[in-house]
Amino acid sequence: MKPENEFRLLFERYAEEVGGYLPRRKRADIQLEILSLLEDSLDDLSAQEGRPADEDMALAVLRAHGAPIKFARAYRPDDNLMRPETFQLFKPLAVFVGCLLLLELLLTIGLSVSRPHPAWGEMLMDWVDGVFSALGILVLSLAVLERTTPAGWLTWLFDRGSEDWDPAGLKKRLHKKTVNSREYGFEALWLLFLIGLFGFFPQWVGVGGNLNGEWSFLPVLSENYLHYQPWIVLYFLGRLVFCVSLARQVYWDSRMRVFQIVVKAYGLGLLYAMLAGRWVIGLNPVYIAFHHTPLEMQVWVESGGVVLTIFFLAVSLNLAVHTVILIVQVFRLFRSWASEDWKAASAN
Amino acid sequence: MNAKQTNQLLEGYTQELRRGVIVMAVLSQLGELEYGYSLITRLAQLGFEVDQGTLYPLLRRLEERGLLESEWVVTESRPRRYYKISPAGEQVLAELKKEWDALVQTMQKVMK
Repeated sequence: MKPENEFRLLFERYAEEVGGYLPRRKRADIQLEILSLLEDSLDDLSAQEGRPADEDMALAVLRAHGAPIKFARAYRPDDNLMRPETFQLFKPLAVFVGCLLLLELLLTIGLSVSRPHPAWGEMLMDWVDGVFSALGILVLSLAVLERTTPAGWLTWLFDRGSEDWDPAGLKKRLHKKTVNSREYGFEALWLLFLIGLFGFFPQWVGVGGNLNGEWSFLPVLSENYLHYQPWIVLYFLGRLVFCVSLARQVYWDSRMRVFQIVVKAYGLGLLYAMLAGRWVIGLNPVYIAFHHTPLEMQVWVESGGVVLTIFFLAVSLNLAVHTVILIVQVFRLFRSWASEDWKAASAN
Repeated sequence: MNAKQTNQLLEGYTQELRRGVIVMAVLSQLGELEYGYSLITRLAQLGFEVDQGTLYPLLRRLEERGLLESEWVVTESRPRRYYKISPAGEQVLAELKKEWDALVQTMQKVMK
């Protein structure tokens, strides 16, 4: 084989390896260009050295261009799985998923403790496997959505349009109390989860466990819950709209205060109605028997009667405290309106 | 800070400076059809050293953005992809030149 044919094979091999890192659409074209570049470089080196090209020169040319992946990287400078803007959405979602996974771990530990010979190692490995799966699915989902949705859709909650940002907007909120958008964005995600769970899958709210090798699950919510379901979902929706609006606006004003008070008053009213009316928690003997719950779980649930009583007392106390807070908020809102009117009247 | 760190910093800032002007340098030399290697040689003769690994991808990106046009020429000893500045590229180059002149004047005042 003639030497120049050997060099060409060497260069073709290099171009092929570079091409392996490039998008299929442009690969052949770029490979051809790389080939002509390498051959031109070799001719130049040969002319400089004043002797015919040889293998050492060919290798020197390749060495000067660097490893195929390094050469290919220059053709793909923006080759990231996720853009920085999308990463801002990934962070709260990852925290949200992390909280759910932590809750799952605590529940699993709690249930395992009740077993005579809990398999801790297996449980932990399953949980770690779940963590990687959940976060991996989250990353891939966002990467796919980023490439398939119109620009700005994913980051709408956090991006208030950097291209048309108006500094005059700063003046409007100069003396207003600002909020952390991420906190309310995080709450919005949590509310979406609650709407999905309580709105479409209330039967999944319950307690379960592995008893004598058999999985048992007991829904906690009784049939009475269905009477309140639309009103509960409406509350979550109201709170969701409030969180999204406040996260976008970034600061408190009278409108947001009123919105918050209305949603809170509605929620407290609903909770009063639920406590005073038919019980939504179905952990009583008739209900347990209706669901053919294993004896061990019946005993466990009935022994938790004290816990349930404490739970209801805590809810009632929480309700009373939030009612007082709501009254104070309404009072403060009216006082601020009154003082603004007074200031406006004084100015005139 | 020792001499090695200073040199590293200087190298980094110098690279940034060159990165800032490379597009203008490339566009200015593509009034006629040129292929990548000849462009590298011409720029080197003018004192502007450019790495092949930098120039070739840059030519592709400029073409994707409509600032260059290209065609394969297969009549020579080997097929080569030739590039030439497009009408849009000429507009951009003219604006860049104005910006450059203004910047040079400003920097001369600043550096006095």
